[in-house]
Formats: sequence, C-alpha cells, structure tokens
Amino acid sequence: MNVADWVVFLGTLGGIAAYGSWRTRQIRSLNTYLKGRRSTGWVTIGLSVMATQASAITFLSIPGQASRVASDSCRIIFGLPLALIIVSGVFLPMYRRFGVYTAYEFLGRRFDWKTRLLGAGLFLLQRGFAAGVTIYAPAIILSTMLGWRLDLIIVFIGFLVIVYTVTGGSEAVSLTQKLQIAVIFVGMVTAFIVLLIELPAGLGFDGAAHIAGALGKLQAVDLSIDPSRRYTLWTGLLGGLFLALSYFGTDQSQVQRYLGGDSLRESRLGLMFMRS
Amino acid sequence: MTGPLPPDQRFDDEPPDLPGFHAWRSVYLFVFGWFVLVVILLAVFARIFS
Repeated sequence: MNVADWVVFLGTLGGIAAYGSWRTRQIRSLNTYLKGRRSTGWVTIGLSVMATQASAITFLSIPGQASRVASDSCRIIFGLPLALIIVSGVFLPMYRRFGVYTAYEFLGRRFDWKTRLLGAGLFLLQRGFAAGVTIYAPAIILSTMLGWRLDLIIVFIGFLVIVYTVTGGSEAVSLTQKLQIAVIFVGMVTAFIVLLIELPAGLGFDGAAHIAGALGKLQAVDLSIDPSRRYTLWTGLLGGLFLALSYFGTDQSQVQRYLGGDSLRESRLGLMFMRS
Repeated sequence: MTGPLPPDQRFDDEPPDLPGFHAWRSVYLFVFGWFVLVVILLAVFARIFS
C-alpha cells in the first residue's frame, strides 16, 4: 500500500468514526439518541439511506456476481422506485404521525406487544447474522492486504463501530455514513477513470462496450414473459417491490435513517433523492 | 401497549415546496418517469453495443 492508500484507509476507518463520536458528544436525551436531533436535512437522509444499504459486501460480492451471471441479479432493483414511492406516501407519514421510535413500536401500538416482540426479534436476529458477514468479508481483504490476524481485525472493526454508535446514537450513524458514502463515490469515480485509462491501446470505451455486449454482459432489461426465467423486468418489478418494501419500510436500520428527518418533507425528499 | 393510535394530522399536508412541484403526486410521477427513462436507456445501450 502506498501513502494515498494509507490516508484513505486510516481516514475512513478511524477518522470518520472519531469525527462521528466527537460531533455527537453532547447527545444526552433518549429522543435525540434514537432519532437524532430531528434536524437532519434531505441530502443527509438520502445519502445515509444509500450508505446503509451499501455495505462492504455490496462492493465485494456484486461486481463478482455481475461478471459471472451478467447483469441478471441487478434486475431485482427494478421494484425499488415503486417501493420507495409507497414507503414515502404510506409508511413514512404513518410513522411520523404516531411519533414512534421504531417500526416495531408501531406494530405494538397497532396490534399487540407479541407482534412487536416478534418483529423486533426477527430484525435483531437477521441483522446480527448480516453484521457478522458484513464485518467478516472486508476483514478477510484487510487481513490479506496487511498481513494482520483475521480475528483481531474483526474484533477491532466491531469495537470501532460499537464505540461511535453507542456514544453518538442515530445521529452519529447518519453523520459518519454521509462521509463514508462520499469516500465510496470518490472511489467509484476514480475506479471508472482508471478503468478507462488502463484499457488496452486502440480499444477505447466503444470497443470495450462492444465486447461486453457480445459477451452478454449488458443485457440489463429482459422483457421475456417466460415464467421459467428467473430475472426479467417483470420478476424484478414484482419481487423487487416486495423485497424493497420490507427492507425500506420495516427494517429499523433504514426506518431510523428517515425518522430522523427535520420534517415529513425532508424525510420524503431524502427517499426520493436516494432513488433518483 | 395497545389501543387506538393518537392521530396527529400535522404531518399530513406538508407540500414538497420544490420549484415546479406543488404536490407529492407530481414528485412521485417524476421519480417514476425517471426510472422508466433509465430502463429505456439501458435497453437502448444494450442494443447499440450488442
């Protein structure tokens, strides 16, 4: 790793977490801890929602999967815009109207404590497993790159995340995610530029796109109505709609992001901005 | 905790307050239209380079 790599690595891992803890050191009330200061603007909400769904796993697994099975699996996101419109128009006003802290609190008030407990329990179980994989996968990369012990890296990353989340609550998460997504965007743009520069002489973007097209890597839209085909525009719309509805509408990791908005308008715009 | 939910109507009528958008319905239509455009562009891109 060169100096630039170390700056990005340490800045992302340590600097952002330290900044999040420092900026939110004054938070004392439960309301602020769980929902933030309720002054979060739509840009922060949108970026935070985006960062929450884009874990390290996204960048490690999706490119590999996309190169192996073309863009099939990407079609699952076709249902996302419809789901976000429904969340924005139906779920969000409902949560804000009743002033709940969590999606599961709403379940408890609408139904009973057993339903709330089941929803919250399933979320914690699911998130617990997901967090394990989310930390484990990048830890393998770091362990290989740095030659450090895998178990120590897992403990270190977990400890770092727990520290700024526990000390700063929801606002620390939103703040740090805004910076993390900025690093991700800069990385994506840099990778794309490097990719163009490193293309073989005489090939160019046009030639590379033709090769990708000939290999079937650009077939993002499949209008087939054959029910035996797994990923089409229609299965993406239908399956993706319900997948995204459950994730963006009822998963606390997402709900918490937009409940921290200054107003219903900011929360709604944040979701629409994220979609666009 | 069960029972009827206390409705708070303050949140029902916040306009989007964006230039050119006076109701949330028009914002949603714009987002949906944008999505349709992206799908069409993806299909065109694939056809051009196939």
